[in-house]
Amino acid sequence: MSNWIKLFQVGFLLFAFGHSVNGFSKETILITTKKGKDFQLVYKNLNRDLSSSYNVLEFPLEKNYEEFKNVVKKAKPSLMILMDNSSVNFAKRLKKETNIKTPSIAVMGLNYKKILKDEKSICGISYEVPPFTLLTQARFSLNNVKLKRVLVFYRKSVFSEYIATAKKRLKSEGIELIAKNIESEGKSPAKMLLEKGADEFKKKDKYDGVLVLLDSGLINKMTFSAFWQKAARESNLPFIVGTEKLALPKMSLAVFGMSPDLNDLSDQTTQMVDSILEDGTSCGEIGVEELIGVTKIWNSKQAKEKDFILNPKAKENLKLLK
Amino acid sequence: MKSLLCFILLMFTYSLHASELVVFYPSSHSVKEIEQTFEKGLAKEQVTVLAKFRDFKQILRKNKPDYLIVGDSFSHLEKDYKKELTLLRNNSKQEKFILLSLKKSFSKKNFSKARLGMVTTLPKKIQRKYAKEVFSQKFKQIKTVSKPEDLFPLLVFEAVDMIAIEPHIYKDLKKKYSTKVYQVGVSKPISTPALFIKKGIKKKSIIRKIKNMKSLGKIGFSGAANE
Repeated sequence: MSNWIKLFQVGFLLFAFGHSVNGFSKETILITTKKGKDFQLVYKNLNRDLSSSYNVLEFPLEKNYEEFKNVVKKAKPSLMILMDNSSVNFAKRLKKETNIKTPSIAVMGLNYKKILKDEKSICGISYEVPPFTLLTQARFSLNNVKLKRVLVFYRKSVFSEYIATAKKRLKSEGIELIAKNIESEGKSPAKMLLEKGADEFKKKDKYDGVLVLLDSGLINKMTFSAFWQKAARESNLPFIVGTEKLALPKMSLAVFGMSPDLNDLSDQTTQMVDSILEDGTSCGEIGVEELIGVTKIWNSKQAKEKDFILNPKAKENLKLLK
Repeated sequence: MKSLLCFILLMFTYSLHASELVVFYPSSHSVKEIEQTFEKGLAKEQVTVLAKFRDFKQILRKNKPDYLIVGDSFSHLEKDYKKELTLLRNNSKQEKFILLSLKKSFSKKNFSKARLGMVTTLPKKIQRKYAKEVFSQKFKQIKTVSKPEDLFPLLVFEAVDMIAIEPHIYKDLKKKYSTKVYQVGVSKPISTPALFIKKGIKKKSIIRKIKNMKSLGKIGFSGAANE
């Protein structure tokens, strides 16, 4: 009997050892996470897709930078997935202080093309819906509007490259993006918008639609009701936005909106992980990719008020909000 | 009373094993269109149409459905099913992927350095093998998207050098996108979507029902032919 017990103990130890060796031989991927259902959904998808091949280590961003630094030094991840701009700042600071340049993928933060411009060890996926995607889909969805000339207000100092790229891509689609720089010395862009923005809407038949750029310098408490909602109410133009929030009926702003498809974003991130860890592509080579998978929103209330008709063929993958 | 209980139990057991048809192949037709077409044509069969590979993989694993209508790549995925009937496009059991690029001069000698975009129909490593097989060519990288309409943005954003797409899907996507693209290659012939039946399933009346469906034209098929 005691021999059997000994045999069982040895067998168990061997099993446990083999299991742990297997765990240790896997590379580690550290994922910074935040509270909030969008972040948690993406984390859940990434964990599901990556944990069979890698050790996935979660780092909640409620913890501070020093804890982040200690975890990275101890776990030595082969790659980091950085959710939100705050964890990008952590990684940048870590590189400066310790020279640790773990390849990293930034997701679910803003303005990556600008903040990661000179980064060689951090690549990313833009979280903003590209104007190309937004306007080609809006054009297809709006059955009774020929979307050819679209107005967009922007700040040149922040969005000049973004607008230039968008214009070029949309030109090949026969859509002219007419961009109005709303910056002026001595005045805030918000004030400039309130003073001069409305003039554009007086130019009859100059535009077929309005693209509302997600820029907190132009959409904020000062301008939302006094300018944007007023313009949407008084004009006959369809307003198009790159976020579900501003396409909600209660916002009385946009008839068509889009937002990131979080499941597709998780897939796009996983593919980037494979590209780095399996194919050996560097973050510098990858740069910042555009968001590909999106969900579409149709504000039926706004559509009814402004007589916009939805193309029946555009109903696939579309959220109809009443 | 006993016989009534037995009858109820039998009906309940039967309902648990109601045959399920799962449909998954990249298409420019909506899930709803495809579902309605098959539901109408196959009254009494439970029909589930899926748009994404992830959902298909899950249902395949969990439910092990009796019947599948799936695309060409499926034969690389599952050996527990037998192909019984092929849906025809333009009266043919075969079609070919076309390769589209923004650059007219993208020549075949550069394909090995190219990044290719495709719709996800297989797990990643198997999809790579599949692409190599149908194009007789290895690519530098395969990027996949969950739906055909995402292939064009992938190309326009230069995330890939070319995309592989079925001609009937490209024809529909041209209604959405007008960016000029060029055909730079073509695949080997691949099978059009086909009906696969789980090995061991004796009930094959579904074959006759699909062949008799007049509404296949609504979802891009000209008919169906036995294997």
